[in-house]
Amino acid sequence: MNPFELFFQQDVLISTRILVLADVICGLGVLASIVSILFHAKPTADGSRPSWVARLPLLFVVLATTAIATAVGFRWVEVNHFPSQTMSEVLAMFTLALGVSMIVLWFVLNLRKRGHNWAIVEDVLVVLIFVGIIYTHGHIRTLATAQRDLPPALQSWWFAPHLSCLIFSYATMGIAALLALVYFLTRFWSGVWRGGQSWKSQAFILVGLLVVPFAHLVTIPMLLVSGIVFAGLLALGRVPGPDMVLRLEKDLDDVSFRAFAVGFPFLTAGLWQGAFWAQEAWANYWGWDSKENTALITWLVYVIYIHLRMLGGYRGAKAMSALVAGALSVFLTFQVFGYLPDSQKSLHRYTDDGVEPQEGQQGAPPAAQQARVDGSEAGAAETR
Amino acid sequence: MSDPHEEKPRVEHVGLRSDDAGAPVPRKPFRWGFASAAALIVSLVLAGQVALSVLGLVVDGAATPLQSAAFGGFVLATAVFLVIQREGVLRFFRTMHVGVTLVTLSLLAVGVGVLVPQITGFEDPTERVPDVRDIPRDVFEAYVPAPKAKSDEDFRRRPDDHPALASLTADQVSRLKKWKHEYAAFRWAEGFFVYHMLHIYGLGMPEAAFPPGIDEKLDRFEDRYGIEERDNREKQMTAAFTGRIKSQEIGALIRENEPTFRRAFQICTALDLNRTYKSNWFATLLGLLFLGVLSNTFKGGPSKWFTLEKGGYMLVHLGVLTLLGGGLWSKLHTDRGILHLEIGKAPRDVYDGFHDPSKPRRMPFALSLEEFARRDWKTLEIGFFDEDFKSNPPQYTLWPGRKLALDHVESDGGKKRPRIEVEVLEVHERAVVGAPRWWDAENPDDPEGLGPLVILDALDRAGVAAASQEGAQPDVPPRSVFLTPDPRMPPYLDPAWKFRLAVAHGLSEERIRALTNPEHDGRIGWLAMRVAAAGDVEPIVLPIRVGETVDGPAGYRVRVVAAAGDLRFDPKTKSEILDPRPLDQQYPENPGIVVEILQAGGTSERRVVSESFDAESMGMQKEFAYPDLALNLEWERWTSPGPPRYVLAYGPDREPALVSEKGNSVPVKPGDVLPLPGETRLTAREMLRNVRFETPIEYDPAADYISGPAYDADFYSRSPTGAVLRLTTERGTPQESTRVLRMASTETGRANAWSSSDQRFWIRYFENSAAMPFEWRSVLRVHEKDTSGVLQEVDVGDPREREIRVNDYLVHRGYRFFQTNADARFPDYSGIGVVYDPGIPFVLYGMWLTIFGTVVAFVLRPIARARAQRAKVAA
Repeated sequence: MNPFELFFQQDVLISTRILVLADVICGLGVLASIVSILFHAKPTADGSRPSWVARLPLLFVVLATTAIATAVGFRWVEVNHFPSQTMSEVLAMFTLALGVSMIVLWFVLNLRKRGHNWAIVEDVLVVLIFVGIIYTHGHIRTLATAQRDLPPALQSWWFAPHLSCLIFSYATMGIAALLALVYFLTRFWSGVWRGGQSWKSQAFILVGLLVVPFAHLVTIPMLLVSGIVFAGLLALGRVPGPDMVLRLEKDLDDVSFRAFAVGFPFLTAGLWQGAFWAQEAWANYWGWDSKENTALITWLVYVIYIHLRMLGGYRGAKAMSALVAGALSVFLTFQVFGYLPDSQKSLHRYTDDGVEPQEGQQGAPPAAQQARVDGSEAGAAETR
Repeated sequence: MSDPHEEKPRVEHVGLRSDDAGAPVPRKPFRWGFASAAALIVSLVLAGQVALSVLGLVVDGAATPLQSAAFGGFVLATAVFLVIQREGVLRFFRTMHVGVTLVTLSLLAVGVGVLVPQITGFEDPTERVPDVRDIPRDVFEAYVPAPKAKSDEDFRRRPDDHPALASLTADQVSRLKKWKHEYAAFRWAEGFFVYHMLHIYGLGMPEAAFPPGIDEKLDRFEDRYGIEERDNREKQMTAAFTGRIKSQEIGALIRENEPTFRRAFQICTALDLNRTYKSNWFATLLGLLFLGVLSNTFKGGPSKWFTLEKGGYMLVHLGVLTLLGGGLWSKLHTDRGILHLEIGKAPRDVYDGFHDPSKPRRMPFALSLEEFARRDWKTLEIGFFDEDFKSNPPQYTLWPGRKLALDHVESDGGKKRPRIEVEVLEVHERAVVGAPRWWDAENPDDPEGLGPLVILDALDRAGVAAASQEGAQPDVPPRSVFLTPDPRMPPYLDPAWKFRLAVAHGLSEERIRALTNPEHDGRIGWLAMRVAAAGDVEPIVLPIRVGETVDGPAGYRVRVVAAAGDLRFDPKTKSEILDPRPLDQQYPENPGIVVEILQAGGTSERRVVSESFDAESMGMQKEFAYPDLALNLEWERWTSPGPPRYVLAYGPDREPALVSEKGNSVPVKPGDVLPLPGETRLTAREMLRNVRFETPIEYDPAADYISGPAYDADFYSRSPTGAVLRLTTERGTPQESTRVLRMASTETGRANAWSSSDQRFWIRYFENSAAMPFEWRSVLRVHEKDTSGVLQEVDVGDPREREIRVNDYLVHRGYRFFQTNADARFPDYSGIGVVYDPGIPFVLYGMWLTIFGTVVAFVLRPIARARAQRAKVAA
């Protein structure tokens, strides 16, 4: 059943139907952003550009975010708990975080103040966000939406802040990585049409875009779409040259870092909140569980990014590569976690459909143990 | 004057090179790069692995004099080096390349632990993959590749062990079994991972088609339960179908690459990669990281440390130092394990260290269990009588206010409307169920009636003997027996197995005769056969008789070799015990059959199928030779060989009478003892034509619905729970009706079930013990020894403070106790996790510092800077 049929089905949960509405808003938002891009790109006779057009993308981001937030709210009522247990719920929260992040970064980065070209960059970012949301919601529709009861370990007041911090940070880091990708794509196509880039760097960018895991979801579509856009720019004679690419590298590095800076405290907070929670749930703040480890790996990637950038003077393409690597790590944590060898016995397998969480039985059954302990109690027990 | 042709002596300048003319050229100072830093760090990590291993031997007193001397020399040399070369060491750690390399290598090390499955119980620093080099090769190669057997799960020697183990000592058996256990887990996890990497993005993954007819059933399922439930069910079935094939392919991948997996396991074991986080090399790496952070944290003078510019950086680094330091303290001093407690048993001070009963640990005090309970989710099932869905209906967890809408039909205008709506009005933790009462409806067609019902008083042999003594009261009161003509309800079976009794209402003589002499006399029951790993697949259900062969799915043929009314098992021989008497003399206490399973080209499998035991749901399918064939038995108590059949027939046009197989008909009226063979006495109390039934249910107003973590004494109540539902049917139509249902989670008086008067659907309320519970909680008591060494309870608070749940533990004298284990077979048992870890506070403080530091560095600092900038511009 396609999403539009789903929207009009009476026996479908309201939250599911509202997500379809959010997709419609996102689709309209893509169109509005394209209109904004065209208005910013094309100077009018008197050089003015209608300011209300420039605010359209933000309006649609706010509307879409509101719709998703409403869907999440309804889902909360439908499942009677904070809706971040199943993968479909977590992904819906992620799209909410994308919207919230974009709104926050709109004001924090204030790209439009830098000029019309930057407004275009911002509108491109908004388009990517909308497309990402639509795609993610489409993926959600392939997942089970059954209400699942919260296992005892998830019944903690840490549930909401831990998930919220992490998901918001992932969304913000994702946006920072998108900014970096915008740079790499601009540099690549500039090199193709205007030259000025070494063949090594061109090959490196192309191979990176093609072979990165799950390239078919993000980098390859972006490569193809940007190719079409740059073909259009070529026809207009407006493909940026090497000098502009150099300036863009510096500026986008700065902007992407600022986006990262918004998310990193939340990533840190989310990571350690998990430890606080694990301490309360299992009296084990760090069990080296593969979920904890993959989150730690992501955090360490960004720690490396900070040190390279702030201490090593690594700026520009090098630093932005690290941002993309971090986003990749986030993606792997989310989507590949269930397949990792050490994940099979993870205590964190809550979101995997069909997998029962491993609570309530750590160690051998009690009867067998009882006999052994009764027998060994008389023997030498270590005493603290 | 010097001779210009004389070779000038070469002058060496310390720290300088000379060019060709001999002039000094400043030597480029060595700068650490990524490669050189990585090389040195890896070398230090390897050295640390060796050194800490030797230290371990020294501490345990197992080191040789040479090893002790070497370790001492190493420590001394290291100390001397650090003192002499402290500048160089500091410079090393303060180099950006070294710092980044340290973090990168730490990241890779953590990644290793994700890519290599860690051994069971790796948290125990003494746990290792056992050394099996002393096991003879032939024994090893015979045992390790053998299919997994039940005896493999017990690491001790067992009589049913693989024959190859017979020549080994008990210690060797234990080590080899453990090795195999770890290897099997490694092999499966890696095979699973490699398989999915080879089928990236799902490319090439198997797709299993549903058997024919499933789509129609799913369409009907959608009509009943809604499109989302249908979608969810379909996804489950798809996962189950493909999961089975995927498992087979993963198994094949593993078998084809067995030598590679074995070699990889050996390498990972040798390098401690399967206990990464407890290994010495990992500890060394973290130690170097600690030194690196320490070297860089206190650079410059104290005046610079807590400025806004540096403050965030300082706090983050201090946090990391505190965290790592606390982690080291934890590593050195942590003990954890599990304490097994039962309600009413004596206090215990010994727990299993690291969950291993062979490692008992004693605490300086004891604990006892005052209360324990497992609370399950209150659940509703709604089913439809005219549907033969083989899968279970959806289960709906209840909470006050929840609304369900089912059984959608298209109404006028093309919109779908639900025919059934349920709203949860109240949920109670304590329900009191009164004695049910029943009466015959005035109107024989009363839709609220449940139809005909016969109520008998049954006195068994002992009761009859006692009642027959003059003036004596029977020891056992008569038992009420309820019989209906519903063919889905079982007949009455005489415990002495002298007769079988059913009820018929409104049937013709011919049909009554057919009932007493059923056409399928001799049929012992129905065998459900299906081929699936799990999930809801339509089974083939066929009637069976002893000696007959039936065709099952996927080419299987099943022959019923033997049957027994009461199947028992001999635990010593692990074989079934069949009653030698003829089948018709065996009361179907626990009926079962023995079958022979054949598949073309395959060997036969002998399997026991018991009616009461579902091997698939118990996870026992893998024990069978044909694990993909699931068999379930439903015994036919009326048609299977047995004692004579009788039917108590009555109806609107017929006076009640007891009809025998031979056709004899004896009139019966209320109060008569039925003329049945044997000593069991059945008295016809009432014969109702359309029974109305009511079970009074009251709810304890003080026992509110428990939905949160707050302490509530009702959590420990063993009383049934209850729910009040508003049921609306056919809303918006002339047939609309609304009623309030009061239900309780007990079968007494059918308080847990309700069915519509038109027999269209039923509702069942229960506490779902098959799924993850709502919660487990325990209330503990603490006992300390008094001066005479006797344990006395100490006051550590009221039950509220002594209660533990999964997210709330109890602390006493540095020990933390948390809820960790439970077992539905032992409702009074609670497994209490024990943790003694003095490093916890440091680690947690370090984490908080790190969080705060990042906020200062990335939020407060930029804001302050921006404000300062704006002020500057304004000025």
